[in-house]
Amino acid sequence: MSDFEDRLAALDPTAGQPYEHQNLESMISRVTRQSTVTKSRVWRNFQLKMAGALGASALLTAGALTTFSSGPGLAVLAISGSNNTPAPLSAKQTYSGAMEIYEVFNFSAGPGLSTATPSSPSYELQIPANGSSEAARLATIFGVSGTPVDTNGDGSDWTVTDASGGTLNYVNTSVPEWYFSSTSTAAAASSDAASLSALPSNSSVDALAQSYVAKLGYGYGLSTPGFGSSTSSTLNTDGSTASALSTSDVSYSVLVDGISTSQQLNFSVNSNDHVVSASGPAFDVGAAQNYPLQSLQAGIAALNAAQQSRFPVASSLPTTGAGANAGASATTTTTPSGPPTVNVTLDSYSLRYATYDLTDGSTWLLPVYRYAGNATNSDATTYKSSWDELAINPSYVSVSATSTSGPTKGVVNY
Amino acid sequence: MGSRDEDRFARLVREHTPAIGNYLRRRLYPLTPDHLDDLVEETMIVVWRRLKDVPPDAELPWMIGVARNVLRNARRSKNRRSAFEATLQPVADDRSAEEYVIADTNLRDALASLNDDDREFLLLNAWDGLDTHALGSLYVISTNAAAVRLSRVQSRFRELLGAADVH
Repeated sequence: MSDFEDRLAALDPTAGQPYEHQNLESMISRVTRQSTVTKSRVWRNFQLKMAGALGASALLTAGALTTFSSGPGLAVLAISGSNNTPAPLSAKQTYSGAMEIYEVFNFSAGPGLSTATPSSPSYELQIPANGSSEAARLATIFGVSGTPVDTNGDGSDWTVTDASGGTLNYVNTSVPEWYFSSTSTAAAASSDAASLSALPSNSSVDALAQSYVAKLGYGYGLSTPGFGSSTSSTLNTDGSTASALSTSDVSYSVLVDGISTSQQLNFSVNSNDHVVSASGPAFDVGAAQNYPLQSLQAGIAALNAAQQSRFPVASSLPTTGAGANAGASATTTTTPSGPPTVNVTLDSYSLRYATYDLTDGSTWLLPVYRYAGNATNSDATTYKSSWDELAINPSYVSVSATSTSGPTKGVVNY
Repeated sequence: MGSRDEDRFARLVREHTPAIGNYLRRRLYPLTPDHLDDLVEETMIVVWRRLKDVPPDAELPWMIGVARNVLRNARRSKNRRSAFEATLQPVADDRSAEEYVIADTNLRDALASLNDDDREFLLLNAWDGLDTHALGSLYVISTNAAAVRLSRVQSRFRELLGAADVH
C-alpha cells in the first residue's frame, strides 16, 4: 500500500469501529413483512424526530431558492445546490465527503490582503453537441479505428475500440471527459529498472502531448507541466510479474484566460514514444460575462457566516433575581461549550475557476477567491492552508436546494 | 415475494449491512447509533422493494446507490436541524470533541482541495473498497473509464498531498 493510501486508511472515520446493526435479524423480519409503501415507517419516524426538534418555527432551509434583482443585461445565476464545489457562501474546508472536524473558523483579513475588488469574467461552457460524433473525432486523433458504441444505451458514455488494443472513451458528465488507452503490442515496452532510463525526456513528452492538444482543438490553455514516471505491473497468481509497463507522465491544469480551473489533462508515454494513456476535459468557452465580484472583505464575511450553523452551540442561560427587593440581580451562566475556534488570518488570495451546474442544465466557469493564510489552533499550534469562496456578487446568485437536471449518476432513485 | 426472495434479501442484508452502515457513517456526522440504524433500514427497505433490480454481479455498488439517495435526504433534514439548533442547547452526542479531531491536517487539506465528485470517487475506492468494476457499475460508466478516472484522481490527490506536505 502506498503512503497516501496508508494515510487515507488512517483517516477513515470507521477504522477500528466497524458498523454493526443493533438487531439485524429483527430488521430483516420487519422489512420483509412490510407491504409496499411510498414512505417507510422508519423514514417517517426519522423525519418526525427532525421536525420535532425544529418545533413550530419556520424551517430554515439551507439553499432556499430566493430571487434577487439582476443588473442590466445579466441574468441571475441559478446554481443547482446539489453538486457544486465550493458551494456559495461556504468555507471549502467544510466538506461533506468525510466527517467534519469539530472546530469552527474565525477568519480575518491580514494586512497583506488587497483592499481592491478584483474582476474576472464568467463563462458558460460550450459542450460538444453530439457525444457519438465527438467520440469518433477523438478516436481518429488517437488512431483508434471503429464506430462509437453507446456503452450504457443512454448517450452518456461512448466507446470506440479497435483490434489493435486502442480504446477511446467519451463520457457526457457536466464537464465531458475523454479517455484514451492503448494495450497494443506496438505500445508495449518491457520494464525493469534499467528501462526507466530509456523513457522519453520531459521535453519530448511535453512536445508530444502538446501536439495532441493542438489536434483536439478545445479552446482552453494549459499550465506549466508537471512531470513524473510510473511503472504498473500485472502479477501472476504466484506473485511473479507477468508484465510491466513504465511510462513518462505529464499533467497540466486546464487554464481559461490564464486562470486555473479544476480540470486536468494527462498523458503517459512509453519508451517507444507511444502514448499509452491520456485523459482530459472536452469543452470550449462562450463569450465572457462580466458579473460583478464581491469585495475580498465581503468574501471573508461570507466565510465567517457559513461557520455559524456548522455545529450546535450552547447559549448562556442568564437568570435574574425577581421582585422589587431583589437588589443586585443574580446571573447564572453555564460555561459555553462547543467546538474550539481556529483563528485564521488571510493574507493573500488568488483567483481560480470552478465549475457550477445551473438549474437550466448549463455549466459555467465562475471565479472563486482562494484565500491563503495562517490558522492558529486553540492550543496555539499553527498551519498554513487555503479556503475558497465564490467571488460572484451574491446579488447575482441564487441557489436551489435540489437539482432539477434529472437522474444523478451513482444514485438509485426510488 | 416468495421465500427464495426472502432468502436472497436476508443474504444481501447480512453480507452488505456493515459496508452500507460504514458508508453512511463516514458521510453523515454526527449520527447516533439509532439514527444510523434507521438510515440503514431505510436503505434495506428499498432493496427489498426493488430486489429484482439488484444486479447479481454488482450488489454492493447498487445498494450504495440507494444509500446515496437516503443520505441526500438525510443531509437535507440535518441541515435544517443544524441551522435551527444553533440557537438552542446542544444535542447530546455519543462522541467526545476529541474524537472529532483529525491529526493529519495535510491529508485533510489535500482532500478538501479536490472537488466533491473527485473526492467521493477517491473515497469510494479508498474507504468503501469499491474497485473499478464496482465504480463503473455505480456511476454507470465503463470499467475502463472508471479505471482512468480513478488513476487521474489519485494522481491529482498525490500532487495535492505532496504540496501540502511541503508546508
